Amino acid sequence: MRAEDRVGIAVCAAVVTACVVHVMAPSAPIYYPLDPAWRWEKVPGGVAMHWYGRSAWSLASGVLAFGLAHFAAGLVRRDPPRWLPRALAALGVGSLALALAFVAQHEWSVWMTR
Amino acid sequence: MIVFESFVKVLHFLHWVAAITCLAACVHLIVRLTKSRVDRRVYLHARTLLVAYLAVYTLGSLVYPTFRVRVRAEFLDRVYPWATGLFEVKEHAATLALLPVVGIFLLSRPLLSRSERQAPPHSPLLLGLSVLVMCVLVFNACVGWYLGTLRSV
Repeated sequence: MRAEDRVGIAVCAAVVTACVVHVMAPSAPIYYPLDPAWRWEKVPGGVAMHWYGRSAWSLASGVLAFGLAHFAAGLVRRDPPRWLPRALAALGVGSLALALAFVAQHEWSVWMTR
Repeated sequence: MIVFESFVKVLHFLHWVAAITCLAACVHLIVRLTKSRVDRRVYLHARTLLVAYLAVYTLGSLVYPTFRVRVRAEFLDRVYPWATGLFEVKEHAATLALLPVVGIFLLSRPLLSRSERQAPPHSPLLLGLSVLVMCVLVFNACVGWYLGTLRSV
């Protein structure tokens, strides 16, 4: 497989994986700016920042997916099918649009209706 | 004591400068891509976008603790909770757009070594990611500016 196709597949895999992990929001360390300290557990009433841990998970998983997909695509010897670029575009752009829509809908339901 | 609070205004100003650079680079990138997908200047704009986005993301991360305490916890959460919602969307969108920006840079690299008539194979993904990143940048710039009119760091 050509180097360009390997990069295309790896970029798509990274974007999709980061979007899925960001939406799933697995347990992550929380930063408390007034202490200042990192903790895994939530402290009631404290000013907490979940964004750093959640972002770190999604970005790290995206980078890992990029590496794995790039390596796996390198093992394929034949040329990619002609529909691959459009499929990768639909998958990558679609997953990013869905993740953005999910975040907007979630925050709307949490904050905008208070 | 909040980390980086003593020079948060300088960091915030640099964050603003980097955001404007991101917007300019992304507009140029999309204009070049829609006119011709074999324009080598696409790579230049993608590289500028990557550097500026990394800068705006890093600076925003450094400003965030002060904003979280002095603006959000002390003011927005109590008076304008919907503004907190806008800010949360902005921050999550910024993270979601980071890897696509890196991807735009990587996907535009083949343009340097291709002939004038040969478009890169993954130009649909390149254009699609660029348009979504542009939407995120415009939204984040508008929200960032508007929140600054309510209260800033």
